[in-house]
Amino acid sequence: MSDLRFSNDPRQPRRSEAFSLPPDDAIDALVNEVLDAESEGRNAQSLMLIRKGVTEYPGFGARLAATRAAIKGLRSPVFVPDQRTEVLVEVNTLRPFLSRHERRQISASRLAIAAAVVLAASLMAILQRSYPQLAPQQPAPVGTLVDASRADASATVQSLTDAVADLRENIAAPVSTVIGPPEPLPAYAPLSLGSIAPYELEPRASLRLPTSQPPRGRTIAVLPAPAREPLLMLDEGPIMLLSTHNTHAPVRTSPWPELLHIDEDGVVIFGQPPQAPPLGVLRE
Amino acid sequence: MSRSEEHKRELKLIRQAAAGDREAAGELIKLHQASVYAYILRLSGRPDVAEDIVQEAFVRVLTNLDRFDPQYRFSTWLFTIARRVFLNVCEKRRPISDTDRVGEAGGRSCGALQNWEVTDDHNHTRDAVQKALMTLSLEQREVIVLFHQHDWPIWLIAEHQGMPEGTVKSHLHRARIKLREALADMAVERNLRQVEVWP
Repeated sequence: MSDLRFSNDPRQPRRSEAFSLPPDDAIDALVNEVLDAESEGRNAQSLMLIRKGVTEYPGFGARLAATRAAIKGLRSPVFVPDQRTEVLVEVNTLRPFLSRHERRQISASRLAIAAAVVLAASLMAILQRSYPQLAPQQPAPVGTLVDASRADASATVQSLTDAVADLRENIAAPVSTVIGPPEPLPAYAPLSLGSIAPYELEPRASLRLPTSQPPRGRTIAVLPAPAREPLLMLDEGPIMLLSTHNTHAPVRTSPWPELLHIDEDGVVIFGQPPQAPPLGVLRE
Repeated sequence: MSRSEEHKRELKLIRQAAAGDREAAGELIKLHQASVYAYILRLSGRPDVAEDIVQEAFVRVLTNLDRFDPQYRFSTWLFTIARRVFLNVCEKRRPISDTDRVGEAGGRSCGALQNWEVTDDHNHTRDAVQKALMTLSLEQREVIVLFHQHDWPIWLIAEHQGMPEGTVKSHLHRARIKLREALADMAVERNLRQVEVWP
């Protein structure tokens, strides 16, 4: 303020004497500071602020006194009517009061209930200790439950994966191009196997068949099929090709559950080499 | 009696009143009715309204004593309920046309009660301080009453009113100044009247 008042700068407007007075806001702020300090028990600071206000701001003391008087007025006693009767009557209608006798009864009944609960718990504890077999099984620890849940979840995922894999295997690839009608099967020479009745006792039997030179016989038909596809027809039942080789093909007839082979020269050989002569040979 | 002993005694009274003891409930009312009545009277400016609100607040408190949390002060709980009842009354009695007046005082107000104050001036509001208080906004009135009349700390007022401590201080500072100015204006008016009456 003093800098402004004594400034010789011609750009500064001329200031009246009133402008040089401290603004009301500054006084009020200081008054509030003093009252805050007093209410918080900071008496030394309050005195310092009062001294500062009195020396720096004219009229500070009067304003502080007026504010103190206004606040003091708040503490003036107020006539308070006794409302106990009205309140208690209204409370009694909403939540009836109890006489001393009733309160004692309630206390006694609560005590009895508490005692009964404690007694029952004690009895249970004694029974469990005396007859542990009567007690319910110990609850499974949380860790076990978590492990079980995890195992269940992984098993479920595994079964789902398997099911999807099965589906994928069973789904046939779509036909993209039509090659044409299949060629007619060549007529092969029938294969005479002779009587196989003596060898039916042997459960494991095999027959070798030269696939490079398909046998020619009476009832055999060689089909160009992959492994585990029907290859030959032998009298009453089909012969199943189990694997393809250059020269030999293990085959199976449908009445026989096990393997038999047709040799290079068309000889039927069973799993156990038969003591008897070969069942049959390919004949032109 | 020390403060902790007072607190223990109060808790005992609360337990007894919750159990249905009429005398304990009466004792609780006797202990707190003066402070809560003075608080609501300063807020409303009307003794009849203050009586109704205090009665309603006590009824609510005494019928819900089971919900009282002993870690808080009973008086704080009672004041909170009384304040809520007062604000409800303000909301119910506020006329629609009075909405413009609500903002006049620079914040939340209770317009209808201000109207009562005006109409019942001669009957009820004889206290100059009370008249000056009614010129403040509701927040300012509440803060200055709780701080200077009930000696509540700033943090508790802030919690009670649900506002930051800085805002409470700001309301307090403005309220002091406005209260002083209102009293000064009234004094000037009184002096003028005396001059007019004097021949």
